[in-house]
Amino acid sequence: MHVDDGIDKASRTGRAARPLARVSLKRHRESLSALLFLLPAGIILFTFQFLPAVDVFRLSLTDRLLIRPFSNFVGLDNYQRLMTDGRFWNSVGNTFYFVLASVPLQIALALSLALGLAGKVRAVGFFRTTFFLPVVASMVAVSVVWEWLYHPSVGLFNAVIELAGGTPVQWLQSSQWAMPAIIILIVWKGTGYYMVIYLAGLMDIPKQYYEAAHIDGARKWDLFRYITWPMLAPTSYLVLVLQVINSFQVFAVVYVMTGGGPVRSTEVVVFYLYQRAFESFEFGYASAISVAMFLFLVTATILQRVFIGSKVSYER
Amino acid sequence: MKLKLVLLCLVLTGLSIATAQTRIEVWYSLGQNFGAPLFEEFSERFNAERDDIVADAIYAGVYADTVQKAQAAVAAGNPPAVLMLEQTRGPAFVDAQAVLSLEQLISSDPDFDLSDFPEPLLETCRIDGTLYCIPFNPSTPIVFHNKDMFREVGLDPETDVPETWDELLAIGDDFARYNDNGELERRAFGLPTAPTWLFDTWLGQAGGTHLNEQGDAFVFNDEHGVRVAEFWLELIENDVARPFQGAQNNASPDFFGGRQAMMVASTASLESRFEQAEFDIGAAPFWCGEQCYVPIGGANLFITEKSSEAERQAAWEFIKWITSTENTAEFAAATGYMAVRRSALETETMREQFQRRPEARITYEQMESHGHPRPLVPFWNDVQSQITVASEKVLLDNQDPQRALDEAVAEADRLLRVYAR
Repeated sequence: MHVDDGIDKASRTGRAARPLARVSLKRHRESLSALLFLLPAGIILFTFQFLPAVDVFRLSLTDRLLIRPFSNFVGLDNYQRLMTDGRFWNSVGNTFYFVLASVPLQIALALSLALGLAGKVRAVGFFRTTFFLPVVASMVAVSVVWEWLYHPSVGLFNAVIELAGGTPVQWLQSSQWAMPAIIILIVWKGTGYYMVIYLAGLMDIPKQYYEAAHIDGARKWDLFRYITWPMLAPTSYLVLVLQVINSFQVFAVVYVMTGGGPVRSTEVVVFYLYQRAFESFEFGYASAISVAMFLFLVTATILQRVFIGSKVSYER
Repeated sequence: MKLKLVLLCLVLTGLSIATAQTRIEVWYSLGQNFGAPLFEEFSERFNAERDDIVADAIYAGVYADTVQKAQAAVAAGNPPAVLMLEQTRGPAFVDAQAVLSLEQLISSDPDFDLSDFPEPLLETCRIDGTLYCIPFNPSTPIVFHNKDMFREVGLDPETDVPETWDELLAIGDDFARYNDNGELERRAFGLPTAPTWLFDTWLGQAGGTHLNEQGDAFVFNDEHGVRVAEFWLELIENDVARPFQGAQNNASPDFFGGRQAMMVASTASLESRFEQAEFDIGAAPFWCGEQCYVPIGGANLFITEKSSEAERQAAWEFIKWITSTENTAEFAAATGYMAVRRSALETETMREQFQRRPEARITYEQMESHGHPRPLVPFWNDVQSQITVASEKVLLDNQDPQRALDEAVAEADRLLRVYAR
C-alpha cells in the first residue's frame, strides 16, 4: 500500500552517490528487461483481451448475428434500442440490487472477520483457512451444491428453518427470494478473499500508534475509530473498487442456479448480454450492451476515485 | 547400420504418404452416462476397420458448449468435419450456411438406404425440404411412475397411469398428502418451468403449434397455448401437481424421495432412472390431450460446409458407419436413446434389450405414431427462454396466462423479423 516504495528510495540514494549518466543507462537497461519480462503476458493479453475488447466497439455498430458471415453497419441503432429495452433496464435494476446489497455486506463481514482474526485468537490459522476456503472453490461447483441446499423440499436450509419452527422459504422458486439467495451465496463465497486483503492491511499498521494511543488512555472503539479505520482507508478503497467491478460482472452463479429466473428476477446485465449473444445470437446488440457496461464501470471507477480515492491518505 | 535405419524411415514415410489417410475431427456432446464411452469406442473401431480414414472423436462439452465452440470454429473458418448438434441447435448452422446439405452425398451413394430411417426422425433434419443431418441419438419424453405409491393409494400401476389429461386430473388428488401445517407434502406430479420441450409436448397435445402454417408468425399464444397454461393451473389448484422453477432435476428429488408419484423425463435416462430408484419404478407413454403428441429430442450428426471434398466423403463414411443397423442398435441398447433405423429393432441386440427392459419400447411407439420435430428456427434457444419466462409467470408468479404468452410471442416474432432480413 506504500507509494513510497523501495525502488524510489534506492534511486534517490543512488543519485547522490553516482554520476547521472550511468544511472540513466542503468535505468534504461532496467526498463528494457522489465519490458521483456512483460512481453509474453503482453502479447497474450493484447491478442485475446485488448484486441477483442476494441473490436466490440466496431461490432456494436453493426447488426451482426453470430455466425452469419455478413453484417450491416447500423450506426447507433443498437444503442437506441438499449434505451427502450425494458429487459435491459430490468437487468440494470437487478444488478444494482445485487451490488448494493452484496458489496456493503461483504466489506462489513470481511472487516469484522479480519479484526477478529488479526489478534491473538486460538487456532487462528484454522479459522483463517476456513473462512478463505470458499474463495478457492469453483464458482460453478459451489452453485450446483447450493442449488441443492436451497431446494424447497429436500434442501438443507429449509430443513434447518423447519427445525427451528419457521416457515420454509421458496428460495430459488420465488421471484422475491431468488436474488437474496444469490446474494447470500456470493457473500459466503467472496468474503474470505477480502478478509485476507484486510488482514494484510491490518498487519501494515505500525504498532506504535496503538501503543501511543493506549498510553493516552484510548478505549477499544477509539482505537478502531481513530487509528485502524483511517489507516485502513487505502485497503478499503482497494476492496471497494475491486468489489464494485467484480459485482457488476456477476454471471456464473446466475447461469448455473437460476438462469435469470424466476420471471427475470435474477437476470443481471452480464447474463442478459450472454443471452443476447448466445441464445438469439444478436452479437451486435450484445456488443452494445457490453460497451454500455464498460462505459458505466469506467465512470463508476472515476467517480470512486474523485469522491473517495482523493480522500484516502497513503501517508504513514 | 545408421544408413539402413534412415532408409527404413524414408520408406515408411513414403508408404504412409502413399496410403493418403484422411483425418477428420468428430465433435460429440454425450455425457458420461449418456453413451460417451461407447462413442469413443466406436471411433476406435471405425479407425481399426478403415485404412483410409482416421476419425478423432472429441468431446465438445454439453449441447450448449458444443454450440458455442462450433460457432467459434465456424467463424474462424476451421470447424470439425462432423458435428453433433442438439435438435434445436442445428437450424442456426443451416441459416449461416455452415453445414452441408446431405442430398448430394445420399443420392450418389447406392449403399445407403434412407428409407430405413423413421420419417419423424428425418423430419428433425429437414429444413425447407432439404436434409441436413442424420439422426444419431434421438429421444422422446416418457412418464416415469412410482409403482409402490400407486399400489399404496389403491391404484393399479400397470393400468392406472393416466392416458389423458382428464385421467391425470381425476386420479391426481388420490396422491395428495398434507403435513401438519396443511402444506401439500406429496402429490401426483410436478410441473417444472424448464426444459421447454415439456411445453412443446403440452402445446402439441392441446392441438396447438408454435408457428403458423406459413411459418411467418408465432401463434403459441392462441387458445391452445392458453389452454395449456390454464390446465397447469387447474392441476395445481386441485393439488395434483406443484410447480418447480428450473430444470427437471429440480423435481426429480421429489420423485425419487417418494413425494411425487410421476415425473416426465427423456427416455435417454431410462436405465439410470431405473437404477436410481429405491422403489418399484415403472415407465409409461406420455398421456394425450386433444391429440397425442411428443416432441423429438436428442441430437443429430452434421457435416460442415468448410471441409474439403475428401473430408466430406470421409465424414459421410463415418456417419454411415456409426448409424449402421448394428451400431445404432448397440448404442440404443447401451443408453436409452432410440436406434435410428427400423431394421435395428430386428437385431438380436435390440430384441434382448426389449426382453430385459420392455419399457425401452415405449419411445419407439410414441415416435412412430406421433413424434414431431422441435420448431426448426435458427433462434429457437431464445424463444425457449421466452417460454420459460412465460411458464414462470404463470406457475410461480400468478400472472395472467394470456398476457404472459403474448409477451413471449412478441419477442419471438421480433426475432423472426431480425432473421428474415
